Amino acid sequence: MATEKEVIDELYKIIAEGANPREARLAISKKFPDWDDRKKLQKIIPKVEKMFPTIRQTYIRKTSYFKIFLIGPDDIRARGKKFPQKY
Amino acid sequence: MSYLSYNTAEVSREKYRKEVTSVCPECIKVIPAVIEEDPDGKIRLKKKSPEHGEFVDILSQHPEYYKWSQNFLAEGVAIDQDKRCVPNTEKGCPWDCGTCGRHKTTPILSLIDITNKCNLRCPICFANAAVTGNVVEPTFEEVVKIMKHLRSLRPYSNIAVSFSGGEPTLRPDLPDMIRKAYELGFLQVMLITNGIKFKSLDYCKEIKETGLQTIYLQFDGTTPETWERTRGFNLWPIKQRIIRNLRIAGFDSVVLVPTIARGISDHEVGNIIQFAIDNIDIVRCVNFQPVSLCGRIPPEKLAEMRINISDLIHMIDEQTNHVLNPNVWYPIPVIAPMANLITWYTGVPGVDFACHPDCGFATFMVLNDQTGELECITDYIDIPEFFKISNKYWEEVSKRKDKFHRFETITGGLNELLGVDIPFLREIGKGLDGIHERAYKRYIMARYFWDVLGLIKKTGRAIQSVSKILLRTTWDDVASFMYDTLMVSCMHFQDLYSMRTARTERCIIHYGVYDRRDGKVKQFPFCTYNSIHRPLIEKAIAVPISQVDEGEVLTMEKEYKELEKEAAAPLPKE
Repeated sequence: MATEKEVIDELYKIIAEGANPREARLAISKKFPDWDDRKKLQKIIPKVEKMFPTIRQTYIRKTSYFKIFLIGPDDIRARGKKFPQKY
Repeated sequence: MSYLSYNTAEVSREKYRKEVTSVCPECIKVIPAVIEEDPDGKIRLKKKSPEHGEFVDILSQHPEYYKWSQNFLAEGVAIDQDKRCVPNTEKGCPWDCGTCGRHKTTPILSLIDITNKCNLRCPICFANAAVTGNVVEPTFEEVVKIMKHLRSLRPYSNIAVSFSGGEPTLRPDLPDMIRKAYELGFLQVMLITNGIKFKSLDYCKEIKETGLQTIYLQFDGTTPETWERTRGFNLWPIKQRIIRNLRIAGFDSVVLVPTIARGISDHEVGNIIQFAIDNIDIVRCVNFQPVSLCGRIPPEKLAEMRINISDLIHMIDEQTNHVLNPNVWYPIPVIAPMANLITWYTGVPGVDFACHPDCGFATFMVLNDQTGELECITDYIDIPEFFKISNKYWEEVSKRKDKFHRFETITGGLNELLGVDIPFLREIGKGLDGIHERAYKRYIMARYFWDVLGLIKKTGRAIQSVSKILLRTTWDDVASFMYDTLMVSCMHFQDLYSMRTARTERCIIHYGVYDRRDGKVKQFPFCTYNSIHRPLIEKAIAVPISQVDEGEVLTMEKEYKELEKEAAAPLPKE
């Protein structure tokens, strides 16, 4: 079982490296399978956000980064369907 | 099954036929042409040059879609005559460009080519300095002159400018140009780039500091093979790194621009849309651009190579599991009447989307962050009716918008009658006119909003954004709509085979050019500039590459070699 701090630090690192929300969620779910839970992740998001400078926090909010992150790595569906291909 | 299921009611059953004006692809003389529906069910452009024979180009594989799309012809807001470089047309379109007195619209976006130098050597490109042997670069002062001209256009001064090339990031004074553009009042400044320089995070940050909003990023596919075919070597890992760097630097508006060529990148459209969805936090739009055809092409080869709008719609339909099916697309002018209404209401110079329906099409995908579902704007609102209603109100407003000087006229007349000049009376007149105008604007927008409410199919995030636009009516609200959505669009540029003056006259994407031959700033519609005018203009400022500073040429070559080496290197482990 990973601690909250470990997950927060890892998520901060992934975002700081420029991962997209899907990649970030995928990496967290892979490394910390017990944290692949929307409600649990929702609680730590404000803490991760606060680790960034103010200008970066505004940017993260403007781009809906965490809203997309919370959807899940494979759950974005378009009008009920998934695209047939994956690059 | 009908190609367009719910709009066929408005499609004429008669065979399509329209006489138009085009050019001979060989000698570029203006010649008559006809667009007609053939018995095999294709819409073709046919023209016969007295000297060079007959030319046939397929405009659409789907006559129903083509006929339906022609319904969306919006009335443009033309540039004031005194702002046109060639007010008196002599040779006719497309030869009297600059723009000429016949042009029907105002540009929504102007491009300025700031260099033809490039750090790539793409097999599909014929225009860079390495190929032509000449360097073409306007000076910083000339670029400023162009921007000042674009800002001076009336009634809509240009609010969006894009620096392009060649590769514009090779100009060391690019940051100064971007800053100058904002200083001159452009609201939207963009950069059309292959992105190679953005593999340096420091460069990303340097450009971000200028305030630049949007990056138009060359993006041909998501596999090494596609990049090898379009650009000569595997740029895929570099492009992924560029996207990451742009995110780290704080860019939140990236437009992916795939060039679609048959047999080369036409299998990538679904993948590219998927990539955009995965990066929807910063990717605002995917703008597909079928490759333009140039040079002498045999007829059978032309038919084989051509990708038109209907082809692209079908590719997207197939490659997105029918999510983006033919029913979700609309020609660009759909938005024109609404944009005109917002411009009129806000009093802020706006944008005129009244291009020809054949110029492009678009749809919006809206992300529902609760369900993770991407929905189309057509799921929310009845688009054809929205266009009709917007057009109805814009026509109503157009008839009346300049008639708010009644009280001022009356009080002015009273002054004259009394033989005095009482400023107070004039001010009262102006004040009453202002109240009248504001009340009329609110009255129109309230009725407009009420009618639009009746077109809503279901509520949700997209409707909240549309409501904000209509209720508060500011350009900021229009911009914020883009942050809730992913736009997928296509600009289908003309080449000499497909060119029609009716389209050219409505072009809304112009090149701003400083013509050293007569010292004038001119605007050229995108397609006529690339197909006809560019070589003539550039000849006047071209400098043979041998005369350019040797160090500069060597740097260009060195950068290219390094890039080639980097692309060939094995991928670093994550």
